[in-house]
Amino acid sequence: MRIMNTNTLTTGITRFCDTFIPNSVYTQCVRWKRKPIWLPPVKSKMFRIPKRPVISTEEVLELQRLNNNYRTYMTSLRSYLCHFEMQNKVQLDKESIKQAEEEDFQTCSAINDEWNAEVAKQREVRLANVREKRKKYNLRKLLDKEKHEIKRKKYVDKQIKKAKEEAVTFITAENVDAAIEECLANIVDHNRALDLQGNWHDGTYSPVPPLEETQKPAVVKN
Amino acid sequence: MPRLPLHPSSGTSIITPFAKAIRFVRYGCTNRPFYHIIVIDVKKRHKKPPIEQVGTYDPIPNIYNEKLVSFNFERIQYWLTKGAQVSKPVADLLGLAGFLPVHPKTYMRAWRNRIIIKESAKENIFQEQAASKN
Repeated sequence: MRIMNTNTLTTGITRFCDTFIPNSVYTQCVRWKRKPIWLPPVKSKMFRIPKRPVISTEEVLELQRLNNNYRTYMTSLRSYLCHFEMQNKVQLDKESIKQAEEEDFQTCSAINDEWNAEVAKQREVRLANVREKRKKYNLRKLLDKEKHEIKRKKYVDKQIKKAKEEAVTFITAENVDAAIEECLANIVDHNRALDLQGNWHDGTYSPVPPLEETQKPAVVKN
Repeated sequence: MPRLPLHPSSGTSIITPFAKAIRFVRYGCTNRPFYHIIVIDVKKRHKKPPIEQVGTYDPIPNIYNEKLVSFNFERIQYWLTKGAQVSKPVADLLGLAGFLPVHPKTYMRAWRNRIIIKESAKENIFQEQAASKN
């Protein structure tokens, strides 16, 4: 298979080299690429001489004059600009630099002082506000605390009263024996139930009486 | 996909010790030219990273029939003092802007345009005369 109708001028468009044979049935090149630099002029254009622009002598002279003027202007302008630049260059003089620095520092410090004064005024106002707010807050907090304390005292008193009232029924070391005896005397049988009509139903199994043996302290024999 | 320049168009500010030129570089696209005015080494190709961009030029007239151009005159002056060359089209524009003396090309273009206008006017007169005779 070969690329049809190709030569050096058209292979460029196929993006392949001359010897490369692509795997296609038929490829036809329709566009032309640019003439490579090493090919000579086309036969039809071989003896063509490009037209030169015709400029009258008057115009040439005028242009020459203008160009000369322009060049002179440009050189003078350039030299002037260079001179100007040289003048504008900062001269390195220690004293003048020091003085300039001092002046700069003075102006800067003056500006800084002004700013500081302004900021101080603002700060005073702000701090006064803050102080007032804090006072109010503290007062409120104190009042709240007092209220809370009173509430707590009341609650504590109540609790103490309750405890004192209940203290009569407490089992202490003195009356513990009596309490035990009383308990043993009146054994409460919890094995009973209440129905909706308010009737009590006793359990079928009476409570097991405490065995004396079980209540005996264990003696370790060894 | 267009191959975008991988350098800032405002300039890389990498200054070499070679001769500099102030010239156009064509951005924009097909049928829509737009030029940056840049400072670049004389021997560098166009669209290479410039040292600095000192202006723009839009050669297509806008709705008010204006061709917009912008210059950074301070930087141009600086580069002129550094001995940068100015390309002809840029010098032409700078001449029109009043920064440099008017370039001879501007004068030439002007008088040629004037001649063309005169000739067209003459032709118009001839045509009118011929029309009146007929």
